[in-house]
Amino acid sequence: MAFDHPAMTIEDGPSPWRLAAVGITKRYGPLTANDAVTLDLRAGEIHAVLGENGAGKSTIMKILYGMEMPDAGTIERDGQPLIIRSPRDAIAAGIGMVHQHFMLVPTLSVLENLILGTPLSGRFMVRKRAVRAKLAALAARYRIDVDLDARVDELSVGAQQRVEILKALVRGARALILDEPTAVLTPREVEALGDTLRELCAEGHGIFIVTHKLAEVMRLSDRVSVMRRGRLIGTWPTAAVAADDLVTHMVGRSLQAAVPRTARAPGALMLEMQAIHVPGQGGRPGLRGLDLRLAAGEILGIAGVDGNGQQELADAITGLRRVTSGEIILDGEAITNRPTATILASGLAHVPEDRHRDAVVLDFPLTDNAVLVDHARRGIQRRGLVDQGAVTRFTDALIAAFAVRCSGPQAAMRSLSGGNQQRFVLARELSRQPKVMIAMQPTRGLDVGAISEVHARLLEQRDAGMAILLVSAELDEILALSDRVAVLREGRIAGVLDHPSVEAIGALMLGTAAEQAA
Amino acid sequence: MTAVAAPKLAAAMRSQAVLGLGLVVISLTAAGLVLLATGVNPLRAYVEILRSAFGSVDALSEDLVYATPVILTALSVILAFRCGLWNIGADGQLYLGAIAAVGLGFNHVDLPGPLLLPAMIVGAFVAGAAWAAIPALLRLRFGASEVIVTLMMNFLAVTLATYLIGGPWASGITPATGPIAPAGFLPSLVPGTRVNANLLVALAAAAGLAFVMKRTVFGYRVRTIGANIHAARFAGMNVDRVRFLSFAGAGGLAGLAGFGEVAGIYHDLPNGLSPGYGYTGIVVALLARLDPLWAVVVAFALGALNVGSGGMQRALGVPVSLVSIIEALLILLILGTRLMERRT
Repeated sequence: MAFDHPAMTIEDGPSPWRLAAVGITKRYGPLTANDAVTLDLRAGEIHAVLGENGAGKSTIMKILYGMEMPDAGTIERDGQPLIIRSPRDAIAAGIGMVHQHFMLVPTLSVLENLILGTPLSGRFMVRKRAVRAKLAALAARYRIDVDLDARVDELSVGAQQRVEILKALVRGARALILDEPTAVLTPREVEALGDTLRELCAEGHGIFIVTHKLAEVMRLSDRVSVMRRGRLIGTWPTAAVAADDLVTHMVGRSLQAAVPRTARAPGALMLEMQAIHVPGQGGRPGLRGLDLRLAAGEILGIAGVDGNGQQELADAITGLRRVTSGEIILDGEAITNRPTATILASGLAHVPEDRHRDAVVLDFPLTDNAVLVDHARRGIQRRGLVDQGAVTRFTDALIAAFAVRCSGPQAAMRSLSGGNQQRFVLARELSRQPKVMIAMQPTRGLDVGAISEVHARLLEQRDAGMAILLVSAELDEILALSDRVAVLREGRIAGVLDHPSVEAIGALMLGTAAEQAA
Repeated sequence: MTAVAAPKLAAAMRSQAVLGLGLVVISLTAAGLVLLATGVNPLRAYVEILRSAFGSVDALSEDLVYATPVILTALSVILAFRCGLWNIGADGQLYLGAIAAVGLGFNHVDLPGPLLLPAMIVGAFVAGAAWAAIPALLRLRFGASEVIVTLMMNFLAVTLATYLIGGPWASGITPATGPIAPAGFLPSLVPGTRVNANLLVALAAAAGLAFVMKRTVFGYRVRTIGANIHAARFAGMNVDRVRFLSFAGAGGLAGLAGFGEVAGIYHDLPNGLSPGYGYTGIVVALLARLDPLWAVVVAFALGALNVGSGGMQRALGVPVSLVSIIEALLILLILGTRLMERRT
């Protein structure tokens, strides 16, 4: 009976089916991750779901796979509602998912991973020999090349991904969700993956690919959907849509809420990065000879698809990551690979991307958070003792200056809303009167009111002569605030635009500008 | 603190006290059932525990004798834990402190009398700190789990002590090293009892650690690293340095416990010096919620339970394992309540 598994018994060829998520809405607190999203998947197609980080594409896939429950909307197969409350339900309904981070037991063999938790493993005894032939046949049928006896932790990343796909098939998946499947693969592996996926489609499987890489979308998919800020922008046959249009859909046509700004009056060179190299990790490019110049009184926007070196750029400047070659100069002073404390003290402020993880201590009161960076400053401490009175006065001043809504300086950081936390972080960083500020995704997760306030503060500081490096995935934000825009691609500055436009930035982001020039 | 915080604090302490009392009642009831099952009247047993723990000056003094090293090992665990590291090695660090104290006091070093005790204290602290510095370095340089390394090093420390006792420093009479010079004896606090001046050292250490954690820049750094190591790094703190110093300091505190046992109680280094004071310190640290001052209270309470149950065992013939069951029940209940609190 164990061999009656659907994936192994389909001999009657593909039969048509259609899986649909209809009107899915999902909220996390004030954030709407999915707003009435409708997506469908048919037998035999590859459907790419494209969008920036935070667009909501992972959320809709998690809902399809039962990892999250929607607040509204239904999942249907052939028009019949499906009830999916857990991945177990999803698997039973023939939906499989390959996560970006693989869910394999590294110390077990491929074979053991494949049958783990399935009826194939037998009730008490692992019947490896009996199932081996079946699994080998299945792998061969889809041209999935894996060694069943290899230990998973000895496999390459690409091979582990193949195991994951096979695992989903063994569990009877007809609809397969691949989350950023190419993020960790070499170009050759990407090609092999494409072959496997096409083979699967020919057998009547359907595949969702979640990605933000446009080139692969154009090459692999039959249909493409674009998501932005939780909404579905549209779904098109891939053959009938131009790549340029997809970019525009992905990043949004700028509806610039006109932030009042004065003419640009850039001053002295404040930050210079010369041929910076930082090794990449986990498939990321790191930095490969990055050059950058930032002057006083300007906002330089760093645009680019996430994962092209943004984090490494900020880490290199702040001294959190070692630079292997190149020079970073802050206001005439070389700060390359200096300790973070030294760099911060010489006039750098940092608004990190992950606020909760890197910018604040959620369990601490505002007072302790206020002096996170400057706790050793004179006036805050004397002879190694923290002056609590001074800390409280300082905290009060920060709260007043940025109108942070809280119950007082002793309030736990955790009790503040995201917008107020960010106000507090900005207040703290600006109180340090920096020459240069790095603002990473400074409005991520904030509501509209807080966003425009943060924008106004940044412009105010620029007018006061601060040099601001603004890294953002929101092209609208980049365009609204930046005097110049540098586009980061594969660890290098692909181009700097004095008069940025969505089209020009999009072309640089995707590398089509270079191709056109060539 | 501020005027607003005071009533809040009082309310929190009251609810803490109610909770604690409830837990004691529950565990006593549960243990009572166990006692009943073995044919012992639980009420008599409990009266006997109380009498043996608090009934006389001798009893009280023995509670304090037990509490003294446990306070210090608990502080050791707390200091390491506050910056996110587990010190399972307080027992070993205690042994190193004891070895250093004996090494100095066993006439191997000719120091003028009044200098011997201070030298023993400093020596014990440094030896414990150095012993703890090894796992700290392995952790910070190579990522080796400090849990495993400190645990393993406990066995090394005991073995080292056994070697010294049986070999170079053997007394030849008892299973202990030879005695230390009388100038190295810690004075007794209450004549005729074993309570010694190391209790004052332990209390001072607790107060000092509480002060350091609350009021100093170093303590602020330790707390920040323990609460969010990423934010600490991003704020430019030298995380590795602070963690190293904390862990070495933790070892030093445990070393002081070893000094006290040698200079205050045994006046030599006997076999089996510590009945697991280092491990008891972990329990005390967790029960005290990593608060140095509460650690003093909890250590005394555990001392009383230990001494009291020993008395009950002698008076009623209750097997000692039952006593351990009562202690374990109490600890499990308290820790369980903590987990439930965190859920809500």
